Amino acid sequence: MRHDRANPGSSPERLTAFLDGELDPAAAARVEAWLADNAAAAEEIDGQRRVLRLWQANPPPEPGPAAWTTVLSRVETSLPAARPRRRKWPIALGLGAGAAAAVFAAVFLTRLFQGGPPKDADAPLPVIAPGDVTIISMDAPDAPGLVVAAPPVQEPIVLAGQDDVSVMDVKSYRDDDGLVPRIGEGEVPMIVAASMAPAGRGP
Amino acid sequence: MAAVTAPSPPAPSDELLLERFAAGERAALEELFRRYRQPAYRVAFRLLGNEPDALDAVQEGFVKALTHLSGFQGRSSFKTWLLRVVSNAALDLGRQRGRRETLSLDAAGAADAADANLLTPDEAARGLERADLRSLLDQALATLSEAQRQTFVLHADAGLSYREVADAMSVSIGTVMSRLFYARQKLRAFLSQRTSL
Repeated sequence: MRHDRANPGSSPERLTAFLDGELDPAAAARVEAWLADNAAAAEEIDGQRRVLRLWQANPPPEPGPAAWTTVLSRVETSLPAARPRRRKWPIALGLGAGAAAAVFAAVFLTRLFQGGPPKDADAPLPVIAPGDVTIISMDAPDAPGLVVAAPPVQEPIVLAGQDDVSVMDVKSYRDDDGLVPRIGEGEVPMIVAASMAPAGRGP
Repeated sequence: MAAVTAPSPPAPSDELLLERFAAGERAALEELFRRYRQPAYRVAFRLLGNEPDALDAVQEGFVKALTHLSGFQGRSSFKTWLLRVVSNAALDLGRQRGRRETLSLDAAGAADAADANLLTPDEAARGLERADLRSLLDQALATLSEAQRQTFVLHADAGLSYREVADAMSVSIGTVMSRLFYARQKLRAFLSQRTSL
Protein backbone atom coordinates (compact mmCIF):
# COMPACT_ATOMS: atom_id res chain seq x y z
CA MET A 1 0.00 0.00 0.00
CA ARG A 2 1.42 3.37 -1.00
CA HIS A 3 1.06 6.37 1.22
CA ASP A 4 0.96 9.97 0.14
CA ARG A 5 3.79 11.79 1.90
CA ALA A 6 1.79 15.03 1.84
CA ASN A 7 -1.25 13.28 3.29
CA PRO A 8 -0.43 11.65 6.65
CA GLY A 9 -4.05 10.57 6.90
CA SER A 10 -3.34 7.93 4.29
CA SER A 11 -0.83 6.32 6.64
CA PRO A 12 -2.06 4.91 9.92
CA GLU A 13 1.55 3.99 10.67
CA ARG A 14 2.59 7.63 10.52
CA LEU A 15 -0.30 8.74 12.72
CA THR A 16 0.66 6.07 15.25
CA ALA A 17 4.25 7.27 15.28
CA PHE A 18 3.03 10.86 15.62
CA LEU A 19 0.86 10.00 18.59
CA ASP A 20 3.71 8.12 20.27
CA GLY A 21 6.16 10.96 19.69
CA GLU A 22 8.29 8.76 17.45
CA LEU A 23 8.47 11.10 14.45
CA ASP A 24 11.36 13.45 13.89
CA PRO A 25 10.48 17.15 14.32
CA ALA A 26 10.07 17.84 10.60
CA ALA A 27 7.77 14.86 10.04
CA ALA A 28 5.80 15.69 13.17
CA ALA A 29 5.35 19.28 11.95
CA ARG A 30 3.97 17.99 8.65
CA VAL A 31 1.43 15.83 10.46
CA GLU A 32 0.45 18.72 12.73
CA ALA A 33 -0.06 20.97 9.72
CA TRP A 34 -2.20 18.33 8.08
CA LEU A 35 -4.25 17.82 11.24
CA ALA A 36 -4.85 21.56 11.47
CA ASP A 37 -6.77 21.31 8.21
CA ASN A 38 -8.54 18.05 9.06
CA ALA A 39 -10.74 18.48 12.07
CA ALA A 40 -12.09 14.93 12.06
CA ALA A 41 -8.61 13.42 12.01
CA ALA A 42 -7.45 15.82 14.72
CA GLU A 43 -10.39 14.78 16.87
CA GLU A 44 -9.56 11.12 16.30
CA ILE A 45 -5.95 11.61 17.32
CA ASP A 46 -6.95 13.61 20.40
CA GLY A 47 -9.42 10.88 21.32
CA GLN A 48 -6.76 8.19 20.96
CA ARG A 49 -4.42 10.25 23.13
CA ARG A 50 -7.09 10.40 25.86
CA VAL A 51 -7.63 6.65 25.58
CA LEU A 52 -3.93 6.04 26.15
CA ARG A 53 -3.91 8.33 29.18
CA LEU A 54 -6.92 6.55 30.62
CA TRP A 55 -5.30 3.20 29.92
CA GLN A 56 -2.03 4.11 31.61
CA ALA A 57 -3.87 5.60 34.59
CA ASN A 58 -5.62 2.28 35.23
CA PRO A 59 -3.00 -0.45 35.39
CA PRO A 60 -3.94 -3.94 36.56
CA PRO A 61 -3.95 -4.41 40.33
CA GLU A 62 -0.64 -5.82 41.54
CA PRO A 63 -0.56 -9.22 43.20
CA GLY A 64 0.74 -9.44 46.75
CA PRO A 65 4.18 -10.79 47.74
CA ALA A 66 2.69 -14.15 48.72
CA ALA A 67 1.26 -14.62 45.23
CA TRP A 68 4.64 -13.92 43.64
CA THR A 69 6.34 -16.36 45.99
CA THR A 70 3.83 -19.05 45.06
CA VAL A 71 4.28 -18.48 41.34
CA LEU A 72 8.08 -18.54 41.58
CA SER A 73 7.91 -21.72 43.61
CA ARG A 74 5.69 -23.34 40.97
CA VAL A 75 8.01 -22.24 38.19
CA GLU A 76 10.96 -23.80 40.02
CA THR A 77 9.01 -27.00 40.59
CA SER A 78 8.00 -27.24 36.96
CA LEU A 79 11.41 -26.54 35.48
CA PRO A 80 13.45 -29.70 36.19
CA ALA A 81 10.96 -31.97 34.49
CA ALA A 82 10.52 -29.54 31.63
CA ARG A 83 14.22 -28.86 31.08
CA PRO A 84 15.54 -31.72 29.00
CA ARG A 85 19.21 -31.48 28.15
CA ARG A 86 19.20 -33.99 25.37
CA ARG A 87 18.77 -32.66 21.90
CA LYS A 88 15.43 -33.39 20.39
CA TRP A 89 14.04 -33.49 16.93
CA PRO A 90 11.51 -30.72 16.94
CA ILE A 91 7.96 -31.90 16.62
CA ALA A 92 7.37 -29.88 13.47
CA LEU A 93 9.99 -31.85 11.60
CA GLY A 94 9.48 -34.98 13.57
CA LEU A 95 5.84 -35.48 12.72
CA GLY A 96 6.23 -35.06 8.99
CA ALA A 97 9.64 -36.62 8.57
CA GLY A 98 9.03 -39.24 11.22
CA ALA A 99 5.82 -40.47 9.68
CA ALA A 100 7.36 -40.59 6.22
CA ALA A 101 10.48 -42.26 7.59
CA ALA A 102 8.39 -44.84 9.41
CA VAL A 103 6.66 -45.90 6.23
CA PHE A 104 9.94 -45.82 4.35
CA ALA A 105 11.74 -47.84 6.98
CA ALA A 106 8.95 -50.36 7.35
CA VAL A 107 8.80 -51.13 3.67
CA PHE A 108 12.54 -50.94 3.09
CA LEU A 109 13.62 -52.93 6.12
CA THR A 110 10.98 -55.57 5.57
CA ARG A 111 12.35 -56.19 2.12
CA LEU A 112 15.93 -55.96 3.35
CA PHE A 113 15.47 -58.58 6.03
CA GLN A 114 13.68 -60.82 3.61
CA GLY A 115 17.09 -61.12 1.97
CA GLY A 116 18.70 -59.52 -1.06
CA PRO A 117 17.75 -56.34 -2.79
CA PRO A 118 14.14 -55.31 -3.27
CA LYS A 119 12.57 -57.37 -6.00
CA ASP A 120 11.22 -54.35 -7.80
CA ALA A 121 13.42 -51.40 -7.02
CA ASP A 122 11.43 -49.08 -9.29
CA ALA A 123 8.08 -49.80 -7.70
CA PRO A 124 6.91 -46.64 -5.93
CA LEU A 125 6.56 -46.82 -2.17
CA PRO A 126 3.28 -45.61 -0.73
CA VAL A 127 3.14 -42.29 1.11
CA ILE A 128 0.85 -42.02 4.09
CA ALA A 129 -2.15 -39.75 3.99
CA PRO A 130 -3.07 -37.32 6.81
CA GLY A 131 -5.79 -39.65 8.05
CA ASP A 132 -3.25 -42.45 8.53
CA VAL A 133 -1.63 -40.80 11.56
CA THR A 134 -3.10 -40.47 15.01
CA ILE A 135 -1.16 -38.66 17.71
CA ILE A 136 -1.81 -40.67 20.84
CA SER A 137 0.25 -38.70 23.30
CA MET A 138 2.75 -35.89 23.45
CA ASP A 139 4.92 -34.31 26.12
CA ALA A 140 3.35 -31.05 27.24
CA PRO A 141 6.55 -29.03 26.63
CA ASP A 142 6.52 -30.20 23.00
CA ALA A 143 2.96 -29.07 22.33
CA PRO A 144 3.89 -25.46 21.39
CA GLY A 145 6.09 -26.82 18.64
CA LEU A 146 3.32 -28.85 17.03
CA VAL A 147 2.71 -27.84 13.44
CA VAL A 148 0.07 -29.62 11.44
CA ALA A 149 0.65 -29.49 7.72
CA ALA A 150 0.59 -31.55 4.56
CA PRO A 151 3.42 -34.10 4.30
CA PRO A 152 6.45 -32.77 2.43
CA VAL A 153 6.23 -35.53 -0.16
CA GLN A 154 2.85 -36.05 -1.78
CA GLU A 155 3.84 -38.47 -4.50
CA PRO A 156 4.76 -42.12 -4.03
CA ILE A 157 8.46 -42.47 -3.25
CA VAL A 158 10.88 -44.19 -5.60
CA LEU A 159 14.15 -45.36 -4.16
CA ALA A 160 17.28 -44.09 -5.84
CA GLY A 161 20.10 -46.49 -6.43
CA GLN A 162 23.70 -45.76 -5.55
CA ASP A 163 24.47 -44.82 -9.14
CA ASP A 164 21.63 -42.36 -9.26
CA VAL A 165 23.09 -39.97 -6.69
CA SER A 166 26.41 -38.23 -6.49
CA VAL A 167 27.30 -35.89 -3.64
CA MET A 168 28.72 -32.66 -5.06
CA ASP A 169 29.17 -30.76 -1.84
CA VAL A 170 28.37 -31.01 1.85
CA LYS A 171 27.38 -27.93 3.82
CA SER A 172 26.80 -27.55 7.50
CA TYR A 173 23.83 -25.61 8.83
CA ARG A 174 23.39 -23.40 11.82
CA ASP A 175 21.84 -25.71 14.29
CA ASP A 176 21.23 -23.31 17.15
CA ASP A 177 17.52 -23.16 16.39
CA GLY A 178 17.17 -26.88 16.99
CA LEU A 179 15.67 -27.49 13.57
CA VAL A 180 18.57 -29.51 12.21
CA PRO A 181 19.24 -32.82 13.96
CA ARG A 182 22.86 -33.31 14.91
CA ILE A 183 24.55 -36.32 13.40
CA GLY A 184 26.44 -38.13 16.09
CA GLU A 185 29.80 -39.78 15.82
CA GLY A 186 29.58 -43.08 14.01
CA GLU A 187 26.14 -42.29 12.57
CA VAL A 188 25.70 -42.30 8.79
CA PRO A 189 23.53 -39.61 7.23
CA MET A 190 20.94 -40.97 4.80
CA ILE A 191 19.73 -39.29 1.64
CA VAL A 192 16.20 -39.97 0.47
CA ALA A 193 15.31 -38.76 -3.02
CA ALA A 194 11.72 -38.45 -4.14
CA SER A 195 10.79 -38.68 -7.78
CA MET A 196 8.08 -36.49 -9.22
CA ALA A 197 7.44 -39.14 -11.86
CA PRO A 198 5.91 -42.10 -10.03
CA ALA A 199 6.90 -44.64 -12.65
CA GLY A 200 10.52 -43.61 -13.14
CA ARG A 201 13.68 -43.03 -11.19
CA GLY A 202 14.76 -39.68 -9.86
CA PRO A 203 17.28 -37.55 -11.69
CA MET B 1 34.09 15.42 55.54
CA ALA B 2 31.93 14.31 52.65
CA ALA B 3 30.67 10.78 52.70
CA VAL B 4 31.85 8.65 49.84
CA THR B 5 29.48 6.10 48.46
CA ALA B 6 30.92 3.23 46.52
CA PRO B 7 29.14 2.74 43.22
CA SER B 8 26.96 -0.32 43.23
CA PRO B 9 28.05 -3.03 40.80
CA PRO B 10 26.11 -3.08 37.53
CA ALA B 11 23.20 -5.46 37.41
CA PRO B 12 24.06 -8.70 35.64
CA SER B 13 22.80 -8.90 32.07
CA ASP B 14 20.00 -11.25 31.13
CA GLU B 15 22.49 -13.32 29.16
CA LEU B 16 24.67 -13.79 32.22
CA LEU B 17 21.67 -14.69 34.35
CA LEU B 18 20.56 -17.23 31.78
CA GLU B 19 24.01 -18.80 31.79
CA ARG B 20 23.91 -19.01 35.56
CA PHE B 21 20.41 -20.43 35.42
CA ALA B 22 21.57 -23.08 32.95
CA ALA B 23 24.33 -23.95 35.40
CA GLY B 24 21.69 -24.55 38.05
CA GLU B 25 22.00 -21.32 40.03
CA ARG B 26 18.69 -20.72 41.75
CA ALA B 27 19.39 -17.06 42.47
CA ALA B 28 19.65 -16.38 38.74
CA LEU B 29 16.13 -17.64 38.19
CA GLU B 30 14.87 -15.52 41.07
CA GLU B 31 16.49 -12.42 39.59
CA LEU B 32 15.05 -13.07 36.12
CA PHE B 33 11.64 -13.63 37.68
CA ARG B 34 11.86 -10.47 39.77
CA ARG B 35 13.02 -8.49 36.76
CA TYR B 36 10.20 -9.44 34.39
CA ARG B 37 7.31 -10.66 36.50
CA GLN B 38 5.52 -7.30 36.45
CA PRO B 39 5.40 -6.67 32.69
CA ALA B 40 4.54 -10.33 32.18
CA TYR B 41 1.72 -10.10 34.70
CA ARG B 42 0.35 -6.86 33.27
CA VAL B 43 0.18 -8.35 29.80
CA ALA B 44 -1.46 -11.52 31.08
CA PHE B 45 -3.94 -9.63 33.25
CA ARG B 46 -5.04 -7.40 30.39
CA LEU B 47 -5.57 -10.44 28.18
CA LEU B 48 -7.36 -12.52 30.82
CA GLY B 49 -8.98 -9.98 33.10
CA ASN B 50 -8.37 -11.59 36.48
CA GLU B 51 -5.46 -12.22 38.81
CA PRO B 52 -5.57 -16.02 39.21
CA ASP B 53 -5.61 -16.68 35.48
CA ALA B 54 -2.98 -14.02 34.88
CA LEU B 55 -0.67 -15.61 37.45
CA ASP B 56 -1.21 -19.01 35.83
CA ALA B 57 -0.21 -17.54 32.46
CA VAL B 58 2.88 -15.92 34.00
CA GLN B 59 3.88 -19.22 35.55
CA GLU B 60 3.33 -21.13 32.32
CA GLY B 61 5.11 -18.44 30.34
CA PHE B 62 8.23 -18.50 32.50
CA VAL B 63 8.39 -22.28 32.39
CA LYS B 64 7.97 -22.43 28.62
CA ALA B 65 10.32 -19.54 27.94
CA LEU B 66 13.06 -21.10 30.06
CA THR B 67 12.63 -24.60 28.68
CA HIS B 68 12.68 -23.44 25.06
CA LEU B 69 15.51 -20.94 25.22
CA SER B 70 16.78 -22.05 21.83
CA GLY B 71 13.65 -20.46 20.37
CA PHE B 72 14.88 -16.95 20.98
CA GLN B 73 18.65 -16.98 21.32
CA GLY B 74 20.30 -14.79 18.74
CA ARG B 75 17.01 -13.39 17.52
CA SER B 76 15.64 -11.18 20.27
CA SER B 77 16.07 -10.27 23.90
CA PHE B 78 14.95 -12.56 26.69
CA LYS B 79 12.33 -9.99 27.68
CA THR B 80 10.82 -10.00 24.21
CA TRP B 81 10.91 -13.79 24.09
CA LEU B 82 9.34 -14.12 27.53
CA LEU B 83 6.55 -11.66 26.79
CA ARG B 84 5.81 -13.38 23.53
CA VAL B 85 5.45 -16.70 25.33
CA VAL B 86 3.44 -15.22 28.21
CA SER B 87 1.04 -13.41 25.90
CA ASN B 88 0.55 -16.54 23.82
CA ALA B 89 0.00 -18.55 27.00
CA ALA B 90 -2.57 -16.00 28.15
CA LEU B 91 -4.43 -16.13 24.85
CA ASP B 92 -4.39 -19.94 24.95
CA LEU B 93 -5.64 -19.93 28.51
CA GLY B 94 -8.36 -17.46 27.60
CA ARG B 95 -9.51 -19.74 24.80
CA GLN B 96 -9.45 -22.82 27.03
CA ARG B 97 -11.37 -21.19 29.82
CA GLY B 98 -13.69 -19.31 27.53
CA ARG B 99 -13.10 -16.15 29.43
CA ARG B 100 -12.67 -13.73 26.57
CA GLU B 101 -15.35 -15.29 24.47
CA THR B 102 -17.77 -14.93 27.33
CA LEU B 103 -16.71 -11.36 27.82
CA SER B 104 -17.18 -10.57 24.15
CA LEU B 105 -20.65 -12.03 24.16
CA ASP B 106 -21.45 -10.21 27.34
CA ALA B 107 -19.99 -6.97 26.10
CA ALA B 108 -23.16 -5.90 24.37
CA GLY B 109 -25.24 -6.46 27.46
CA ALA B 110 -22.69 -4.84 29.69
CA ALA B 111 -22.50 -1.95 27.30
CA ASP B 112 -26.23 -1.43 27.61
CA ALA B 113 -25.83 -1.32 31.35
CA ALA B 114 -22.96 1.09 31.01
CA ASP B 115 -25.02 3.27 28.68
CA ALA B 116 -27.49 3.74 31.48
CA ASN B 117 -24.76 5.03 33.69
CA LEU B 118 -22.36 6.88 31.46
CA LEU B 119 -18.94 7.52 32.86
CA THR B 120 -17.63 11.02 32.43
CA PRO B 121 -13.99 12.11 32.60
CA ASP B 122 -14.91 14.05 35.74
CA GLU B 123 -16.13 10.88 37.37
CA ALA B 124 -13.00 9.10 36.29
CA ALA B 125 -10.91 11.95 37.63
CA ARG B 126 -12.76 11.81 40.93
CA GLY B 127 -11.80 8.18 41.19
CA LEU B 128 -14.92 6.57 39.87
CA GLU B 129 -14.91 3.02 41.08
CA ARG B 130 -11.63 1.84 39.72
CA ALA B 131 -12.95 -1.66 39.24
CA ASP B 132 -15.79 -0.33 37.08
CA LEU B 133 -13.41 1.64 34.96
CA ARG B 134 -11.10 -1.32 34.62
CA SER B 135 -14.04 -3.46 33.63
CA LEU B 136 -14.96 -0.95 30.94
CA LEU B 137 -11.40 -0.95 29.60
CA ASP B 138 -11.56 -4.72 29.66
CA GLN B 139 -14.71 -4.72 27.57
CA ALA B 140 -13.16 -2.25 25.16
CA LEU B 141 -10.14 -4.54 24.76
CA ALA B 142 -12.43 -7.48 24.06
CA THR B 143 -13.75 -5.70 20.96
CA LEU B 144 -10.32 -5.98 19.32
CA SER B 145 -9.16 -8.89 17.23
CA GLU B 146 -6.72 -11.22 18.97
CA ALA B 147 -3.77 -9.88 16.97
CA GLN B 148 -4.72 -6.27 17.72
CA ARG B 149 -5.20 -7.07 21.39
CA GLN B 150 -1.82 -8.77 21.72
CA THR B 151 -0.06 -5.99 19.81
CA PHE B 152 -1.68 -3.22 21.82
CA VAL B 153 -1.04 -4.83 25.20
CA LEU B 154 2.59 -5.66 24.45
CA HIS B 155 3.16 -2.03 23.51
CA ALA B 156 0.98 -0.24 26.05
CA ASP B 157 1.38 -2.47 29.10
CA ALA B 158 4.74 -4.16 28.66
CA GLY B 159 6.37 -1.09 27.17
CA LEU B 160 7.85 -2.93 24.21
CA SER B 161 9.02 -0.79 21.30
CA TYR B 162 7.57 -1.24 17.82
CA ARG B 163 10.64 -3.30 16.91
CA GLU B 164 10.31 -5.50 20.00
CA VAL B 165 6.60 -6.10 19.39
CA ALA B 166 7.42 -6.95 15.78
CA ASP B 167 10.03 -9.45 16.95
CA ALA B 168 7.68 -10.92 19.52
CA MET B 169 4.89 -11.40 17.02
CA SER B 170 7.00 -12.21 13.97
CA VAL B 171 5.47 -9.41 11.91
CA SER B 172 6.86 -6.23 10.35
CA ILE B 173 7.15 -2.94 12.21
CA GLY B 174 4.65 -1.45 9.76
CA THR B 175 2.14 -4.11 10.69
CA VAL B 176 2.65 -3.35 14.38
CA MET B 177 2.11 0.38 13.85
CA SER B 178 -0.91 -0.21 11.69
CA ARG B 179 -2.43 -2.60 14.23
CA LEU B 180 -1.81 -0.07 16.98
CA PHE B 181 -3.65 2.63 15.07
CA TYR B 182 -6.71 0.51 14.41
CA ALA B 183 -6.67 -0.93 17.93
CA ARG B 184 -6.67 2.55 19.44
CA GLN B 185 -9.35 3.64 17.01
CA LYS B 186 -11.60 0.78 18.13
CA LEU B 187 -10.90 1.42 21.81
CA ARG B 188 -11.73 5.06 21.36
CA ALA B 189 -14.94 4.28 19.49
CA PHE B 190 -16.07 1.90 22.23
CA LEU B 191 -15.11 4.15 25.13
CA SER B 192 -16.39 7.37 23.60
CA GLN B 193 -19.86 5.81 23.38
CA ARG B 194 -19.81 5.01 27.07
CA THR B 195 -17.98 7.99 28.46
CA SER B 196 -17.57 11.54 27.34
CA LEU B 197 -13.97 10.72 26.64
